[in-house]
Amino acid sequence: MAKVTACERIEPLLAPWADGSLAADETPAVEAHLRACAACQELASTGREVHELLRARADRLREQAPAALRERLAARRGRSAGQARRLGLLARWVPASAAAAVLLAIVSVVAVGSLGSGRVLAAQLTLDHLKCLLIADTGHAADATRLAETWARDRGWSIRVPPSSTEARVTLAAMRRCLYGDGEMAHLIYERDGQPVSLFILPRPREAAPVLAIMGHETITWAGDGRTYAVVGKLSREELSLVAAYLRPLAR
Amino acid sequence: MRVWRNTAPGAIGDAVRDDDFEAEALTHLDSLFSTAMRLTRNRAAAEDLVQETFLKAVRFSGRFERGTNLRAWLFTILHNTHRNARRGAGRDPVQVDSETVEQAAFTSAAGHTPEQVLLRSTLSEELQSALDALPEAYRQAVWLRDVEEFSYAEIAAMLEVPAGTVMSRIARGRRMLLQQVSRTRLAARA
Repeated sequence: MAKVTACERIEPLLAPWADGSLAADETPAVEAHLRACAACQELASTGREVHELLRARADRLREQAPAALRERLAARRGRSAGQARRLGLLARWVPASAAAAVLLAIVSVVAVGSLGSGRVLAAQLTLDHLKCLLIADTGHAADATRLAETWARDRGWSIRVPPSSTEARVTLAAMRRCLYGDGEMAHLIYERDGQPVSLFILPRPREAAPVLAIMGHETITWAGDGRTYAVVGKLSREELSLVAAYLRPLAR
Repeated sequence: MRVWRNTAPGAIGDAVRDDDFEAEALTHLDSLFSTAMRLTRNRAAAEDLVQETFLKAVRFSGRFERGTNLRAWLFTILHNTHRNARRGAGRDPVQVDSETVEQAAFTSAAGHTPEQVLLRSTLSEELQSALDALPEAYRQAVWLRDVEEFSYAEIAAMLEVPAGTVMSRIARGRRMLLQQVSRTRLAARA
């Protein structure tokens, strides 16, 4: 029994012993134990071998961040802080009653485990719309077929992405993956006359309020084929309805 | 309830400061991305995680104390974000196969085992996949210590576990890594 106790006491010190970061006053006790205990000796010397190997290979194990990611983040320098701050201010300006309603609903989500109300879903999508605009790679037209292929390959479920349309004055700009209560959803970002509009595709049916205005943003939601769809943008309700009318038959 | 407040939003000094901050944060991009890859084991998810980390870092840059370790602070945000995302996806953040762990800790053998000799001839790709095969709690701790060279105290703060737990996970994780390498190499030979 005494030996198990000694091993248990020494065990946390084996890792720092193996990588040379053990305090000098703890070293003699550890090394005395290692001479007496084959199991700990083995764990410690294995630790040293693996540590030395990983140190020697550290540069090759590290990966370079994708160039597109680096460019995207570098392009945000200076302006993202201002935008993020405005988003923070915006969140603080939400009337207290609305904030309390959202908070209450979020608490009930945590308790019940699902978003019960369409209002909360719309509020969450509006926040996702604002958040993703800060980090999405927008500013040029994207190819709908290629985005749909990328999504199916990376995510394992398929979506149909409505393409850009000059007639509907809608340009497809970017795609993101967002999380919501039940898992992941596709977030497609379009522009209409320079104004960003989000199309969310949720892979499950959700209770949703069809038309709702939250924090100056209009949302239009519909369901079909076991999925839920939402369009969010800072446009007039009439204008957003036109965008939704174009996207609705094409999205899946 | 958030109590954080920006002191002078929009002031010129802020803009300069933000730019410096972001420039310095970008120098840690490769490190953060590599770590995100080990956490998610998926390129698209790793990119998302790093973007989210940068966005949060910029947003909360007012909370960062100048002169302290920016790299450790960014890694802390990365790990918090990863934990929250996993919680959102309804998975347990620490999945531990206790039997494997016990075996890893107390398989006894003396001196240089054939496994240790084998280790030195391991290719970096094999090492990478062996790392990815470890349970997450061990993979994180070993990676942060042996590749990213954080101190035990820094790792404990990032993972929100006691330093003693970090030490145990690293000792056992290194041992599991060796076993994983020898398993794949033996399988390749058979």
